[in-house]
Amino acid sequence: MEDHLILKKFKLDESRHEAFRELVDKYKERVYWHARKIVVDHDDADDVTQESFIKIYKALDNFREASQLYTWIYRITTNEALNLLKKRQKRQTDSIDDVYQELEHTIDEGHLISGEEIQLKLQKALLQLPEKQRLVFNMKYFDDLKYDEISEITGTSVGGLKASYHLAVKKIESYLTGT
Amino acid sequence: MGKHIKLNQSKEKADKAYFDGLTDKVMDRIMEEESILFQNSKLKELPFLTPEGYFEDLTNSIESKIDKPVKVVSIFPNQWIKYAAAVVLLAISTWAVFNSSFTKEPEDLLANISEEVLIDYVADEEGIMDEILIDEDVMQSVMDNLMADLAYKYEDLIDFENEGFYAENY
Repeated sequence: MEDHLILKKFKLDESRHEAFRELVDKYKERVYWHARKIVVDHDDADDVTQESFIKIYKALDNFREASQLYTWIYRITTNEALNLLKKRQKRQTDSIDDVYQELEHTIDEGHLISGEEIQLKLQKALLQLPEKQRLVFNMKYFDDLKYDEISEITGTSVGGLKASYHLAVKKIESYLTGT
Repeated sequence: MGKHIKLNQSKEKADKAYFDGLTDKVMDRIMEEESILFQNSKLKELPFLTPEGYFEDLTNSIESKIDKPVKVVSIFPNQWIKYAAAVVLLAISTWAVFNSSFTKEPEDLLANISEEVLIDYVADEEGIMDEILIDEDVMQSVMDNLMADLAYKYEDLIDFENEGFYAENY
């Protein structure tokens, strides 16, 4: 179902739940995989996905349709995932580097993680990047989003995103090739 | 005559958009041909798995949480307490800003910031300047983004309709 029809149905009391179910069915996999790339662990990605949809449900009445629905959903999910990492950092009074080290450990030892060595190495390389470069790389490389869509999600200028993406690619290449 | 000029202007705009995009496409193609990231197609696959049937159950799981009523307890039983709290918060923020901004020289503050962060900041500022050319659509989009950010920052704490706090957080 088209986004505008989902939104139209959501505004009516009698079809609100049905519309939201359509929305969840349509976007659940994209939301989950976007969150999983940020938080790595399945249980955390599940929490982020569920919390994001609950927040989308509560905020959807105020969505003005000036942005595309899926970029708005991506923005909420991104915020929620980063917030989870920050909460963990505060709770453990660790630095954010310690949190990323823990994520690296999850890639090595965590359950529901299985892939070729080069794929695991790429995930570890991503953890070495600053937050913004990591986000841009995930959305451009894995999700094939356009710069203007990523710009809507992150609130960063297209020029800044291009610079971040190219820097990220260079750093990952040198990590992967050991140069 | 006026129409002719308008047509020329829109053609120029279309040309500019095309040529701006063309540079990106060429640069991306060059990067793709040179980089290991684009030569090994396995790298685009994630090494992550989900439990069996996870996505089938996810919709019901989310729905069950939405249907659950949330008990709300207001911590501001009287209106005047809310305004007093706002004044106190404002006073504390003002004090914090003045103390943090004027005790150090700008050079000292900048010395602790990495070059990469500064480049990111300048890029962001340029983006903001571009967006200052405000029109109706931009304003609506800003409002959408604001709601998205508010949803994550404050919805854990604040129930907008009841102006209270969720009991489960206390």
